[in-house]
Amino acid sequence: MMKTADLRDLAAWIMLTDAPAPDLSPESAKKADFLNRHGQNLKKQIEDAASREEAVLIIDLVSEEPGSGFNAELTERAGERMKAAAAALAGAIGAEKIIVAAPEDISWAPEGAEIVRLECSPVLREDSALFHILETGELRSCPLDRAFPSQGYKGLPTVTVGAEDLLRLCAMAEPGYTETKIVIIRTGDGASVAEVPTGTTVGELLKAAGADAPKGVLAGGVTGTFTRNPESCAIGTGSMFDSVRAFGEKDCMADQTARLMKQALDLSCRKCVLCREGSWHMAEIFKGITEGKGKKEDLDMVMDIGPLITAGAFCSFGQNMAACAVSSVECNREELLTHIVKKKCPAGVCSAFSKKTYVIDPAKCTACGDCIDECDEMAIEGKRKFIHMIDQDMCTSCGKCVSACDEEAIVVNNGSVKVPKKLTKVGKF
Amino acid sequence: MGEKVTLTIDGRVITADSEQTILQAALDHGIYIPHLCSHDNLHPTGSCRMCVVRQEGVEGLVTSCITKCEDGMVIDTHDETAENVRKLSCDFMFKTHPAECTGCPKYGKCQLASISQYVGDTGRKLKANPINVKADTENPIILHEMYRCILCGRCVRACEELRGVGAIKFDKVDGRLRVVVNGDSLIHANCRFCTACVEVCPTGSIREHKEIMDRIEGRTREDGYVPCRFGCPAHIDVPRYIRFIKQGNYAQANATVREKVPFPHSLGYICVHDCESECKHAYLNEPVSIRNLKRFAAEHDDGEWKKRAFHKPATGKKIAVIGGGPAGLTAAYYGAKLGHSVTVFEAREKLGGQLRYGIPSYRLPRETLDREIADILEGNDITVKTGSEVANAPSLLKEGFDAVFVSVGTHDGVRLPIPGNDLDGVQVNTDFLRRFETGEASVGKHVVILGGGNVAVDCAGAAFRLGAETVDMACLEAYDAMTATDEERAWAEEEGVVLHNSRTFPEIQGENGHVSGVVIQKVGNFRKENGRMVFDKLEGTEEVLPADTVIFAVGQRPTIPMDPEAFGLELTHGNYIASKGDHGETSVEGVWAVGDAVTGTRSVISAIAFAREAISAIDVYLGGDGCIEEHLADEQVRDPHIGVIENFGELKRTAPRVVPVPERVRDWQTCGPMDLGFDDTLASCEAARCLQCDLRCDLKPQKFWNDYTEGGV
Repeated sequence: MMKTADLRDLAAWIMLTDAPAPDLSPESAKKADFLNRHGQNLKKQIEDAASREEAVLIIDLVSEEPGSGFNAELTERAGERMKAAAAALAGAIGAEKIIVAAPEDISWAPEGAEIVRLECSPVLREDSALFHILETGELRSCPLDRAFPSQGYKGLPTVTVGAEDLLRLCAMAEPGYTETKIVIIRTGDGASVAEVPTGTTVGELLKAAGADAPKGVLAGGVTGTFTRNPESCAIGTGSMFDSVRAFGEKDCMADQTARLMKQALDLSCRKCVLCREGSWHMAEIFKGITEGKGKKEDLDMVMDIGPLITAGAFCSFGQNMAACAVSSVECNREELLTHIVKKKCPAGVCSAFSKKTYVIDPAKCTACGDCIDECDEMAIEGKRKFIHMIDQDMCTSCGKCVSACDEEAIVVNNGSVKVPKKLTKVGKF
Repeated sequence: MGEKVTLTIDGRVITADSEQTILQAALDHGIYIPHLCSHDNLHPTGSCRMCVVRQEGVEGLVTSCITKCEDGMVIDTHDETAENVRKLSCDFMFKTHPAECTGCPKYGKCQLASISQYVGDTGRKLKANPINVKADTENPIILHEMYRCILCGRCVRACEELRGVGAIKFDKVDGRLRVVVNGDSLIHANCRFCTACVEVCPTGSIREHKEIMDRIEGRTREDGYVPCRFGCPAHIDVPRYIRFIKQGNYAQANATVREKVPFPHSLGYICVHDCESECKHAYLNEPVSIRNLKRFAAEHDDGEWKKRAFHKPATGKKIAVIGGGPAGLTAAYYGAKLGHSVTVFEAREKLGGQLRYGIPSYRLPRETLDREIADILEGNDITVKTGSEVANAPSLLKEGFDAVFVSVGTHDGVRLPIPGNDLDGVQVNTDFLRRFETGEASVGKHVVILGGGNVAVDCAGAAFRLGAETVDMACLEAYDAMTATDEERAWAEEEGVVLHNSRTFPEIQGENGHVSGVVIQKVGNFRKENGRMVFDKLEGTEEVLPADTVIFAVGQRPTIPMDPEAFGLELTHGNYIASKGDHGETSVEGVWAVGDAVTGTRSVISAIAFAREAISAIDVYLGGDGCIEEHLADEQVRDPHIGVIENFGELKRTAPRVVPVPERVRDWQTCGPMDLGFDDTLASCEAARCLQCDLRCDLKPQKFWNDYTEGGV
């Protein structure tokens, strides 16, 4: 279990509470007039399913980024309350089948439920994608438009809820309900769990958690957005994020964005062109920036293609991952430009900028070959009587050759040592 | 069908069905919305993002291929964001696709190139992301060059949803989505080789091998995609009748054949099956045994087709048919059905022509032939005059006939001008086979056949049946180049014929005026120059085949009665009748000539096909509409969902049941036809092998943006 965030007055432990589950009648579940984890009005789903035969209840514990831990945390902290809500909901719709879609590390399940093991993916926040993977095992976002209304899982009337939706159902049945949101706060010190009233801003949340004046803030993960004004970023129930992340001086925002975009590329179901190819281009651009190959135009490219991907991608995953890249450029432009123009990583994270350049001083080298024998990368060229040379493309700057050289000829070049460009006899350079 | 709804697209008010998508409604009204992953026969997926549009009052863009029409919708297809999204999608696809179009076999027919031309180039400097996968040319029929793939998924949907086969699928390979074969080869993936994937691929990624592409180049879609039907001179709808057989509906299968030919059963025995030569199954292993399926169907004729056959009212016109072979009888049949009064003049004692006097009875039972001829004559205004030779064709016009149809055939065997060709014991093919039919033929103990075609094989078979102990066959062609079909050559070999390929025969030797042997000599390459064979004789390879009977089977010439000059028609070299048009017109108006006497020795099916064309032309000449098409079989629903057949690609051609050799030669007069054809089980096995190439025609052809402008704004 994660730490519990010490938020003092800000905390509102209404959903995440040790209190025994309230006595939920199936009727109470029908009052669930809020948007579920998949952005659908739960009350409408319940009413539709209740009026039809063979209703299915799907409990979604997989529509999160791998490593998020959000759903695991909720099942551990309030599993019993979730079960009570699931039972009430199943009763309300007369569910003939309950499916729990869960990753390997979550063992929670209500009685009689069928557990389907899946890998976590934010793509599964789309109803259609979740139904499709349950039906076929294939991760693929599918047509779900007004023209092709979701027929539900296997064409059956289906209600889909997340862990938080179940906890909200419980909370709503108790007196003095106020609307809250559960959030994981990630800082340099690790992750902690918080629950705050909706309307609380990300800034307030981070301040209360002690992450004051962070360098950068990411609301959500790969489908979230970087924000410059956490104070004006209010937390709501339907928000696409389960976590808030504060970055400090040790974090490189170019590196962080590159990681997010690589994750987006890996997570994309690859069905639609904009998400499949867009995530690749985004990942390439930010990877290039961290490797010192960035160009100013790269940022323009992100700002050019990003909003179009958001406008045109098939599902919310693709739309949001592009928005994440765009928000990074907006919020982290200066740090990105430092990488691109000054070829420096201020946080000292991007190794491409910190690589030491070892050279062999041609004045000291005796062509003994000891360094050649020592190098695991075969990065040192040279033969008897010829000054040895280090191939900088192959050198990993491990420094082993330095200690192998009795002549102390191998040094970190600060620009003062001139080295031959081709094999040159000892003494002839 | 849903309800009628009215919506506005780009300012135009249109009426659509509520079951239609916005894209379908727009295209129906000539409003082009770019689309790539969408295909009329496939479920939409909305993955290419080309068809996004703006809908008034709706946040974000709407995917028009998956959004159904609703009353009152206001759609803008030229919304700026939508257009920019399309351009970006196009840019992205081109970054994975080879930049060079001109080397692509799909150049000029590529939907990606076409669409990019429509949406326009942005000049965006995106990094190239080529797909590093090699061309896969190892599979039969279909080749994959997936480095051109844009992952529209049409092929996968066609294979999975439409065909129910699933031989190809999406898969992540090295972190990248790809379309891959669902197994180590298409055969092992149980591919049905229907080529639906080829048909729907918008780019040059999935194609047919060049050999197949080249063959269909220049043909219409139907002709190109269904080679068996195209290859059949009469264009019998082969896949259709094979499907009827598969459904167990044998009589309908026969009725389908009947729609094009009046001799289905006879053809089932002896057709040279050009359809099989075209059959695409040959690229997997061997062609489908179409002829035997045809015969099987004919064996289950229930005569129901007769109720649907057309019979036009009498026209009072008279047609004379000279020669009662397959062409003449076909012409008589359709001529009479068209309402004309037909008289057939047959020089011989019985009708049938080559079917009777050229093809031995052990291959084509005479009761079958007689029944089919009876079917032709039955109820039709056809007068038959056998033993009646016509000396001058045009003279019949003066005798009250309105048109004359000449189909005298080629019943004169060629006797090559070599020493000894007139020795006692030397015979010619046509004469020999005719006398075999009438029971007057005889041979010695050692027979040499000169020639290597199907007629030569018949002569060889007849010789054995007449008691020959040895039969040698010598021909110019190499083993693989013999003009006899592989099947007939195999029969000859089974029966014990010794083949002497690549041989010329400079001399027939004799003793006391009787044949004693044939000198044969090896030849090198041979070719035809000015109609004459030219070849190099290889010195020192001469040998003598001892013989007491020699049969020339090196070709046949037209039987122009008595005096060719007096026949009244312009002839060409070798007494063939000169053709003056595409449908058998001759030098004399009102006289048509078809069949072997015009084309040279071909086949029964060619003669029938030619006769159909000519009689149609004659009908037009006589004031009719020339239409002889008829629908004798039920309508057939082609189910696109063909499903999986395990090891489909490895199913071997079904061999017919054949009477074994000693018996079929020894007891030929009592054991019936040598080839027993198929029973139900064999027919059903063989019918299942059909690739159903015709299903591809049911897929909508690919359209391009410029195809939609008609009727547009």
